[in-house]
Amino acid sequence: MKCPQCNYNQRRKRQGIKCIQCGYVFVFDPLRNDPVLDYRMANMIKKASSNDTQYFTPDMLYGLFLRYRKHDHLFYTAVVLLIISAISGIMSFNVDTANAKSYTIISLFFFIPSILYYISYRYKKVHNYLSRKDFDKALQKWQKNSILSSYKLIETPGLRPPPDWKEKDIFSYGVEKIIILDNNLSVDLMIKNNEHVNAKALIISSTGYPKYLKPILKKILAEQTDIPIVLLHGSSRQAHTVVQQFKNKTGIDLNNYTLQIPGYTAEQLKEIKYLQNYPPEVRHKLSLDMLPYAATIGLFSLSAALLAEEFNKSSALAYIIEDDDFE
Amino acid sequence: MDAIFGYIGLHAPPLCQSMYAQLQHRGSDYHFIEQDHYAFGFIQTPLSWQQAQHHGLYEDANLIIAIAGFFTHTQTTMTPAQIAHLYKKHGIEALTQLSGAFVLSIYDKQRKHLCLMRDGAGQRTLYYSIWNKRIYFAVEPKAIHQLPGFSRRLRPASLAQYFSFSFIPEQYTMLENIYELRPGYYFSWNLSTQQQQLQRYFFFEKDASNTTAPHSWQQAFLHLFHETVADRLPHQKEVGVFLSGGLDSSIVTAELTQHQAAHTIHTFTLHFGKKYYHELDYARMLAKHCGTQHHELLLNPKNFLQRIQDIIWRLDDPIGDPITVPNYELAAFATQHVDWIFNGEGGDPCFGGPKNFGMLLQHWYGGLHRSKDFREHAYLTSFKKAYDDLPLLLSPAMQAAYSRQHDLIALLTPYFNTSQAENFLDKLMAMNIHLKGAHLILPKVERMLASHHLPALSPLFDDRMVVFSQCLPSQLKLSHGQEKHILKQCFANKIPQAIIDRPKNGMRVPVHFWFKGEMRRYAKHILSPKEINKAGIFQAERVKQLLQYDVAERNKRYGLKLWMLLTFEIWRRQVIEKE
Repeated sequence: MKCPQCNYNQRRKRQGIKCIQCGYVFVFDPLRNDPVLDYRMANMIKKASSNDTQYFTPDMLYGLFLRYRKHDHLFYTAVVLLIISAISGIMSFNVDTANAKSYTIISLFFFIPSILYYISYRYKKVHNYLSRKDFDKALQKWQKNSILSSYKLIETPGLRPPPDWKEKDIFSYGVEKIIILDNNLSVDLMIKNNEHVNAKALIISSTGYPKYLKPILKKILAEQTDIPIVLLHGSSRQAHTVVQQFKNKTGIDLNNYTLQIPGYTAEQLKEIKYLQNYPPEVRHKLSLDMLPYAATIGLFSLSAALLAEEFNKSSALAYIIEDDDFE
Repeated sequence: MDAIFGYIGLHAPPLCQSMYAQLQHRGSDYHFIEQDHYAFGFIQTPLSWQQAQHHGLYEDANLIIAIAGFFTHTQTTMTPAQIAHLYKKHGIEALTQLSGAFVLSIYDKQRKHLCLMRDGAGQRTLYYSIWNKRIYFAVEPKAIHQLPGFSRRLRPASLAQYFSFSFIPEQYTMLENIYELRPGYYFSWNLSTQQQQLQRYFFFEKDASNTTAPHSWQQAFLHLFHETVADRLPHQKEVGVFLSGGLDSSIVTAELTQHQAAHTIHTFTLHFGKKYYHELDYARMLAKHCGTQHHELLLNPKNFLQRIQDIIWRLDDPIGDPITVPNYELAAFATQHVDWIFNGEGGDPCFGGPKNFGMLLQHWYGGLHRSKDFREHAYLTSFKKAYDDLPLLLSPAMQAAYSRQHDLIALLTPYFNTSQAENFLDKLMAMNIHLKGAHLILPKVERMLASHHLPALSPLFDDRMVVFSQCLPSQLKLSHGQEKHILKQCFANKIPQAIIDRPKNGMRVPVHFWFKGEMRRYAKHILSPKEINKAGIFQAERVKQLLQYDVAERNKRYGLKLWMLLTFEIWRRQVIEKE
């Protein structure tokens, strides 16, 4: 097992669970069949937090574990075996009868395993993934015991009213758009990562969280009757149920406003190549945070018209992600 | 564009010719007054400018005056001789009432006292340096830093500021011991006592609080805008406008059509090819609406890479905004048609630019960890340059040579703590005018246009407009999620509604894609590990990651960071290494 701190390749049986090079104490133990090891967990967290420069949620991290599954070696082995088999097959037609038989046998010898490898690859791609339950346990253990635990992980919603600013005009000018997310934790994620600043938007959840913003939201809606409202929800929910929940919790009927609902049904997600490693059952109950982060941001950064045109195309996410870096 | 330069100091060997040699791209018609211990130079613009009587050199028994630029408002007919008369009668205080786009130097021979002055908004720029008991001044730093004996040492704090803002704020430049005179300031220096004083005279925030509200802000704006455009118009000549398709340049074009009914107005729009974001449709719509003669220019690296060294030399003190090259190229193109170019610069800083909503929204949520300087940090981050990247980008030696607290945070704190503005929005606007306006927008457009002998005519950044914008109730700047509310109100029926309603996008120079394609080889050559290690300013590993588009941190912004690195590195080799 590889040490996440110094990259030393520790031999568990002979060298124990303390890195002999840097003293790092491993949290996960392959001998106890832990579903994930320290190096992978540290790497995934590094990715989710963009090297500790971005907040992330457990869902976001789980999405990464699903996207970066390592079954490619099975696929490539299948391809290599198939190529050898094909070459042998072709050779069998070009040599004399005595040798043709040998080439045919060689061809079959490689062809059968290539099929088996491919079946194994397909099976593992669909079925062999880290379950949510195992992931949650592993993450909890990591955060509790590892010296590399991340302070960028957001586990509970924690937004409160801001202090009383000395300037009285902080809330006076409205916003360019309103973004409604289907869960409270996603709101924390977006705010802590300053996405409301980038999108010039008020971000609130479908339960009306954070509650102190309700009067400000009502004032904006009264004054900016044509303000775009972007509603984002995971694939486990339907837009109208989110709209209904918002109405129940805040008393505001979104049907009276310009509402943009850019996608997120399981069918739409299926077409996106970035998400092809997600098992179907996960795709059907996908939370917002489990999409690539740049894609979620892109969804409320881009105009509704562009989304309508682009979202179902495979290039849509690439465009969105590139746009994130566009000066 | 016209220029002034010179020096004061005992027993000075003549240097006027050397200084002029660095500024000759501004014009070939120049005049000197050169004596034992002083010299003043003036470069005449080749254009016959309606306010030509304003500028030039003046000398009598007591005074020497050098003026570049023009005056506006009630001083449109002021001559250097009248300025001398005013100065003799009332002292420097009388000159603080001047309005326009100008820089001037005035030398009192008897008192051996020199005064340098820059206009209130910062439409013109002036640099100065003192060494060996001599003061040098010029409209571009290269006229000073290329002089024999000047020690060209990099100022590490400026480097950190450049990578945070993309420009260097306040009075500093990238080199130690060359200073930019701040807008609305004058600098005085006495040859005998060597005493110096930097004094602010243009307090637009205070002027704003003393102004009585007009009956109608919309009428007042239209009247003032009419004046600021009229003050800049040449008589009986065709003029051009840099028309991006955005609101600001559109209203300038619309206003010009009111003044120039008898003459053709040329509009110039630049784009980077159909595959990149462009605003050609908006620009065409406006051009058609106003009946201008419209021109479009396609710009790609193939066109400008062979000139980039020259462009950066002309730009001089580095500005890391990639818009500099489009400005330069569009100016080169426009000179084939007109001699006077208007622009829409000033609309953002004065009437509500794109940063303000973000800065306001930084205050909407609680329960977040906020340090005591979170506003300063948020403001620095709002530039979306390489502020977060400084610890990874700069070498350890460079990091040790500047203080984040002193050189970045502390220069912003006074703007947030000021008592001159009650509203947060007004504080932000004042900051934008003082910082981005005076040190990026105006110097950039001035130097890029001056390279082609064009004056930069920015009626929305007139000093009276700056005061007006501070007086304006903040709800007329930002309102109901819209920026530049008053401009939209005033021009609602004068320009196409689509331009009023469109969201602000700015000119997106596709550097992100250029550095992956057409500019990749060039950037790799200039930013090679060997050169980076030799200079010892950056961490070669980080530069390599940027060139490979392989950065793990969140704010990647490869294109912009590479552009800033490239601009700086070319400048460093030209200026410091003298390559």
